[in-house]
Amino acid sequence: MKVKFIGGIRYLIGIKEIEVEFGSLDGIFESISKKLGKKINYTLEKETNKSFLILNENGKEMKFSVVIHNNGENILKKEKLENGELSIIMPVGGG
Amino acid sequence: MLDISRHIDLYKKLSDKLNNSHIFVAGAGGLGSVVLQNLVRLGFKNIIIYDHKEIDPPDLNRQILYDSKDIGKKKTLVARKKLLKINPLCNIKVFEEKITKNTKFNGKIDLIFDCVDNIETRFILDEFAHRLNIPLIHGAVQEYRGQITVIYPGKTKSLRELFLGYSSPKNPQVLPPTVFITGSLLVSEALKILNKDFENSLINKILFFDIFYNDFEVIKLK
Repeated sequence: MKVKFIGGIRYLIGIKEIEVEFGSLDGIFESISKKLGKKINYTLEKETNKSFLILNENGKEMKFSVVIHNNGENILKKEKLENGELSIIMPVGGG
Repeated sequence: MLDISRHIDLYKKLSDKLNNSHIFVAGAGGLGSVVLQNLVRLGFKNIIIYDHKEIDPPDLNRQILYDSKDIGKKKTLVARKKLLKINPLCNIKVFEEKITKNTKFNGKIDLIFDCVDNIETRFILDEFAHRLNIPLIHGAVQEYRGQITVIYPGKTKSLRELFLGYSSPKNPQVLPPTVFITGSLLVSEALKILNKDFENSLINKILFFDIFYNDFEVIKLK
């Protein structure tokens, strides 16, 4: 499946998009990590329903709030992932 | 009196909207300052402003309605005074209130600008727009980056559907040009929506930009 990085996350990761094998969300992030040579994980904090990307680089862990859309729908609104496109979006929040 | 005589051709399509639309601006901070200045300079007659904060020194780097003499004063009151100096014919209603789930918005409203600084209030505006069946022009900023989209009940996903899971930073750093660009683009989107020019608008699209990299990208939403 195609994985797109949208917003500031693309500069932290260093690419705009990548192709990986479709699978579970954990499997997809494992594939992304392998291809990029840096550890990237996704975590959903259940009590707040907030989602984060954890990036491990050179022994340093960084955490960013993200939203993930699968084929145009927020994954928090979906029953299960579908093959196609995964957009990892790092929105901005100030006004 | 606002003199538009040099730009009359541009205004032909707009005059009805400028005179008759009731525009709700939620937040009179960074984005709100830019949006409000644009609205009164365009000649919008009816503007409603909600903001509960006072002007702090760190606001002055990007909140272009305010200056050092305004420190400690209510944003809504200073904003109205300054906006009326630009265009005395505007009817500007101000509310010094924090927007919460219990806020009652009364009166006619045709369009909402989201110029607030947290996702929880944005979701309240989203619900309000859906309840009234009116468009919400969403903008947000941080550092060198901005995002803009139009939420239109019945035509687009809600803001909650798009950004569910997002957690706003408590004190985001913001560069003034990011705010000025985003605020101006918000107003430009509003003009398209009021003119029903949906094809060229950010309906079912989000514009993300980063001025550090000169990266502007419109993402289509399905």
